Amino acid sequence: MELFAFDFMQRAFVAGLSVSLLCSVLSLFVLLKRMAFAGIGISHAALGGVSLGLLTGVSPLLTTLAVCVAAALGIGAVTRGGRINEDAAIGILSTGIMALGVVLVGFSDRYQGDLYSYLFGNILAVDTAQLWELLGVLLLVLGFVATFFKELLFVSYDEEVAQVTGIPARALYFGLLVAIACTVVAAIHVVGLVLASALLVIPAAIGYQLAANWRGILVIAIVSGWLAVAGGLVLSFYWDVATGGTIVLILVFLFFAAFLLARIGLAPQPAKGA
Amino acid sequence: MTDAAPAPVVYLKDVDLALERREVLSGISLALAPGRFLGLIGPNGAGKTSCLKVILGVYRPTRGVVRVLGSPPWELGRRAHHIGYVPQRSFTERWAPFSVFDVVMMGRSCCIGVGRRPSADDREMVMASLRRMGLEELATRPIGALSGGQTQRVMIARALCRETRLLVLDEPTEGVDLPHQARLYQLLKDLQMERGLTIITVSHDVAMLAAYADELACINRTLHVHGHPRDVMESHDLGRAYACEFDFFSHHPDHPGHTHRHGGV
Repeated sequence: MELFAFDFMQRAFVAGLSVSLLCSVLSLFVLLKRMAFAGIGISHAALGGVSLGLLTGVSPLLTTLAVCVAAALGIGAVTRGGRINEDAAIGILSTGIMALGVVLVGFSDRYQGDLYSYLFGNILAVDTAQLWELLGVLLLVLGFVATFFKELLFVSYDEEVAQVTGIPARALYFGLLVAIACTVVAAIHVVGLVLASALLVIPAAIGYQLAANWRGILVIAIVSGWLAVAGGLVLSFYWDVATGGTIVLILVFLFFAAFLLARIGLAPQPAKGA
Repeated sequence: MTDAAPAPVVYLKDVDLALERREVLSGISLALAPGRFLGLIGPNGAGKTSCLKVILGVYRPTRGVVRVLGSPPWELGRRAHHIGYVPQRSFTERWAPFSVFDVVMMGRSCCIGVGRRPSADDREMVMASLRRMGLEELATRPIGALSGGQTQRVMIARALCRETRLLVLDEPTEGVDLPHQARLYQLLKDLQMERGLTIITVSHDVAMLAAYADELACINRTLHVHGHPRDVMESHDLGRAYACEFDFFSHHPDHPGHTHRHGGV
């Protein structure tokens, strides 16, 4: 295919498929633990990190990583230690950090172009150094998930029982939040911070429609993510449309297709209890 | 030389607990010897579940001493694999993409160790636990496809497929019909005998619990009465704990159909 003749396209495919793998694996836990809003909150808080990086001249990747991890830990701490619900805690923290980002961006106009690529993603502009950074994040987060996989499943299903029976449930919950923060930073390169949370929610949501067991959900999530990224890159190359938006639209299309398949009985119906 | 009494599996001394600045438990002292079956009773909102959560280390007391297997429960570390916990049903019955086998295998997570996959022995222990509960044929079924009673037995199987010495159950018969309640308590009694388990069960069904437990403890913020079920049932402190006239129908196998009535305060 002619699109693979371009170096930037090859890098885009490697970056997109890697980030998609990471997001799809985490999306299983995001849905199991009902943390979809946490993913949205952390990705929106990324605006504060991007603005900070653009304003100070420090690599926006580093500042965004720092702000997202801080937002994730803040969400965890307020949720566990405070007297408000998780959704309220996320709403307050993410919009607060986002507002800070908006204020910081307002100090100068010269950042608007760069900011646009962070908001909506610019996967075709990923350079070799960024690619290595993405692969580093991929190895780190997948290493964490692979090491604690069965413990994370237990904590996602039944945190209190996991905790009292010897699993460090609280530490794993915070670890999961930090993993989501790192993944959001990686996903910003592919679809931008506005749409990053879509990659953390929709792949497993497609799996939930078509499979009754976590193994099937995980496989379907990974395949869906890869299909969306590959499809988005190919369509955006030939039709000259925004890659990030196209990837998310394909995921949304796959979700509704799976939803309809499940409704008309062509997919196994998860039992809702006797 | 005299035989020393075995160290209690659960020991609470002058335990106070406050949640959200509200006093939930006050001055609770309780010791449970190995191999005993304790029924924890009390009216709604009396602090029974909170007391269980203090024993399990979920809540730390604001005052007093808590020892489980000789240590504060939050310092048990790897010895936590001696504890099996069956939470309230409302929580465990939500749909999740796990088979019955997957859920029971979760109980072995702490024994398998971080970064390791279940071995053939782990799988056999899970199947043995399911067999003991009469659930072997349901191993591949989705957990959400089971009835309430079956789900409860899966949770007990999960609590037992480890080196369990203390089994803690929170309202295990909630929403279960009477014949199945009796069957569940008989199962717990059998497990106590077979494995020398120490069991603590919270329940509203005082009479049913009295028929199977070795000891009853009645809590309503403070510990009102603790002792042999017959003594507890005949104690006026029970009526005082419930703050009402206490009326129940005894299910005790020794006294079928016998009705007790106690005056309240």
